[in-house]
Amino acid sequence: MREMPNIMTMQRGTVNALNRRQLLSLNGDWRSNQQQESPADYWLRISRFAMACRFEVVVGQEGEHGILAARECLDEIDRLESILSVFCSTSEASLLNREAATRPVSVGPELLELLQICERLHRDTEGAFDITTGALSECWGFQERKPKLPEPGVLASARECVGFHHVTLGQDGVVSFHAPSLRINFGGVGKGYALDRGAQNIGAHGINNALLSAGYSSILALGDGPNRTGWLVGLRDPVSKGRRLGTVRLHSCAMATSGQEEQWFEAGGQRYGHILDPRTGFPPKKVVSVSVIADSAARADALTTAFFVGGPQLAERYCIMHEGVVAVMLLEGDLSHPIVIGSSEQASVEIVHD
Amino acid sequence: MSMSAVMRKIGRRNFLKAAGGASALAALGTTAILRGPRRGGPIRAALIGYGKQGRLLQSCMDAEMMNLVAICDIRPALNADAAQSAAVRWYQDWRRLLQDERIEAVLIATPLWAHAEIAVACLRAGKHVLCETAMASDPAGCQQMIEASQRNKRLLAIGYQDFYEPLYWAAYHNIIRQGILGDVYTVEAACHSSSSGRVESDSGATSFDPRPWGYASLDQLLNWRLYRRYSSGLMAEWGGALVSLTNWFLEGVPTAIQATGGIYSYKDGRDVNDHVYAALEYPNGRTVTLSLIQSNGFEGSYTQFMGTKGTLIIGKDEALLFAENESDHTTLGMAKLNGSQTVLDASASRNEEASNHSVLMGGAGVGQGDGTIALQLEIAAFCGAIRTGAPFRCDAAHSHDVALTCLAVNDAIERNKRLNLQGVQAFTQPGTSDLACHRLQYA
Repeated sequence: MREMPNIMTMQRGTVNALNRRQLLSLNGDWRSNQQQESPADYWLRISRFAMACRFEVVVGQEGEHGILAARECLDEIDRLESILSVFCSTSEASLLNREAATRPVSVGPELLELLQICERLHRDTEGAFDITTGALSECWGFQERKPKLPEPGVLASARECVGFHHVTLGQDGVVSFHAPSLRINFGGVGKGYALDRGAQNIGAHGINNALLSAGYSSILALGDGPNRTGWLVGLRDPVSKGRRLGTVRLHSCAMATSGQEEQWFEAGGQRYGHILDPRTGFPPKKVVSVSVIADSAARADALTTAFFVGGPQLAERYCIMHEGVVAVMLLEGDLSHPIVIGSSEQASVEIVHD
Repeated sequence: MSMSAVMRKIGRRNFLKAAGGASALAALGTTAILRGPRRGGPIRAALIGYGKQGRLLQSCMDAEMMNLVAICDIRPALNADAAQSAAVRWYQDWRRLLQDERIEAVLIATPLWAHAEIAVACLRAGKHVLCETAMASDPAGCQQMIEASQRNKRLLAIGYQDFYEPLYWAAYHNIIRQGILGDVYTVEAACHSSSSGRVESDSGATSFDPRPWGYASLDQLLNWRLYRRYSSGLMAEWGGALVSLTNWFLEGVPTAIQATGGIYSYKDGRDVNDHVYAALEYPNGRTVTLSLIQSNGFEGSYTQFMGTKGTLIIGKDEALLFAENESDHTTLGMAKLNGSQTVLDASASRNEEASNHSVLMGGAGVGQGDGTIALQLEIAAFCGAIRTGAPFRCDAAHSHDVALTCLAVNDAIERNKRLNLQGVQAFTQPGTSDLACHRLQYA
C-alpha cells in the first residue's frame, strides 16, 4: 500500500480553475497561429481499428522510427484483441467462458497477467470493479446491443453467476470458474491493458514522448508532450456535448473516462445505462460521468467503472489509499460542476467556470 | 540532445537567436527550416503575379521571415487589393522592379510561359528567386534559369511544396526510407476533377486590355492554363506535383515515357488536353502510371506506392498504409500540437467509434488539403536558405527533371511515340544536388 497523499481534495471545480473565455482561448483554432508555423509542431498520428474503436498513436516526426514503432504497437494490440475479446470465438477469453466452469483451463501469460490485475482492482475497489458481470450484461441485452429490462427471475439467476470470488487463478496459469454460466468480459479494462502493453513497443524504439489512445475513453501519455507542457486533453461535457468540462495535462500517466451518455435505453419511463453494479445487478444512478487519472491505462480504465458504480465515496476512499490517482466526477443534481478527488504530480486538471 | 528538444525547451523565437552559432545542429531537416533570418532581418521580397496564387503566397508569409516590399502585376486594378500598406510598392512591369535595390528576393507567380524570362532577369539582377511550379515551359528555359542561378550565385527555388508538407516528409523518412513497403515496382498517381478549370472573371478583369502584355485576349489572360501558348496543360499544373513526389519517393527519374490524352470533355476553345494518361518507366522495373482527368472527380488526388511488403496511399489529408496480406490498414495523419492544442476530447466510449473515424478532434487534426501549411514552411525555408545557406529541399535540379518529364509526356502524346529519356540516375537527397547538374534529357 502506498503512502497517503499529502493533499486531499474533494471540491467543486476549483482546481486550477480558469474562466471559460481563458480556456477557450488556450484551445483556439490552430489557424489562429498560422503565422508561427514550426515543423516541430507537427506530430504523426498513426491509427488502426481494433476492439470496436480506433486506436491511435501520436508521435513526433523527427525520429525515423515513429511509424514503425506505432505499427508494432498496433500489431500488439491486434494480437491482444485476439486473446481477450469475448466477441472472438477462438480467443482465450471465450475459451474460459465456455470451459473454465467445467474444467481447469490453462491461459497464456497476457491473460493471466490481466486476470491478476483485475483480481487486485476488484479487491481494492471493494468489489465495485468486476469482470465477471458477463451474465448480467447478457440478461440486460447489452452484450448483443439489444438492451431490454430483464425479468426479475432471470436477473436473480444471472446475479448468482457474478463475482470474482468464483474465479481461481493458479500460479501455473490455470484458471477455474466455480459458478456455472459465469462469464468474464474485459470491456472495462481491455483497451487500457492493450495500451499499456502496446506502449512497450513504443519505448523499445527509444521513443519516450507519445500519446496512445483507444477511442475517446482510454488514453496513455508517455513523456511530457509537446513543448514539455504535458499532453493536453479536453474533458467533453457528457450533457452539453459541444462544451468542455475542462482540460487535463498529462505527464507520463493514463486517463480513462466512463459514462452512460452513449449507451442506454429507456423502459417504463426510466433510463438505464450499460454500466452495471455487480452487487445489485442494476445500473447505478448517482454518477453521470467519471474520468480517472492513474499510473497505468488498465488501472484508469477499471477505476472509472469502479467509481461509477461506487460513487464519490468509494473514489475518496480509494484515492486516500492510493497516491497519484485523481477522479473527475460529474454527479446527478449538479451537472455544471464536476468534482475533483485526489491529487497527482503527473497531471493537472483545469475545470471550466462560466 | 536533439534539435527538437532544444526548440521545445527554449521556444521558437529564442531558438532563432540561439541557432546563430550552432552550425553542428544545421544538418537536421525539419529544424533547418527555422534557421531563418536573424542577421539582416526578414528577407525583403517582391511578388510578381498577383493572381490567386500570388495572393496565397502573400498570405503565407511570416513577417519574421519575409517582408513584402513590392508587388507586381500587369493588371492595375489589382493594385487596390494590394494597397494595404504604404510600404509595399506597386509595379505593373516587372522589369522596373529589377532596379529596386531594397528587393533581395522575388516570388514568381505568373503564368508559366513568363517564368524563365522573369526568373533569369531577376537572378541576373542579383535577386534570389522562388518560382511557382512548373519551372519553365521549355527545356531551354529551365537550363537558362539554372545557369543564371549558378553564374550569379543566387538561390533558385521551385515551389514543389510537398517537400514541406509535414505528412509527406514524415512518410518519406518513416516509411520509404525505412523500407516498410519493401520493393516498390508500381506507383499509381492520379488527379481527378470534374471542373473545367475555366475562370469567368475576377476582380482584376473589368476592361483591361492585355494585348500589350502578350495575351491575345482577356479570356486568354484569365484562362492561360487552357492555352498552350502560356501553359503546359495538366502535366504542368497537376502532373508535375505527382512526378515530383514519385521522383522523390522512388529516388530516381524516369527513363522512358508512354502517354495518351486529348480534349474530350470541354470543347470550349482550349487547346490543352483535359485528359492525360501516362506510364513512366523508372530504373529497376518500376513503373508510375499517371491519370489526370477533368471529367470525374471521384477519386480526387492521390499517389499510391505499391511495394512487396505494403501499400502507401497518400492523399491530401492523410495517408493509408496497408500491409500485404492483411485486411486492415493503418491510417497516417498529422496533428499540430505545440502545447496549447488539445490532442482529443476525452469522453465515454462513443457510438461513432464503431464507424471507424479518427478520434482526433478538429483542433488537433491538420487539414493538409489547402497546402497553406506547406507553403508557409516553404517560404520560411526559402528565407532560411538565403540567410544561412541551409538547404532548400526542392532544388533546381529536381525541379528541372520534373519539368522535363512533364514536357516529355506532352510530347509523347503529341507525337504518339514512346520517348526514351537519358539522364543521370543517381538520386541525391533533396536539397543537396549540384545546381549545375542538368540531368535529364529526352529526344
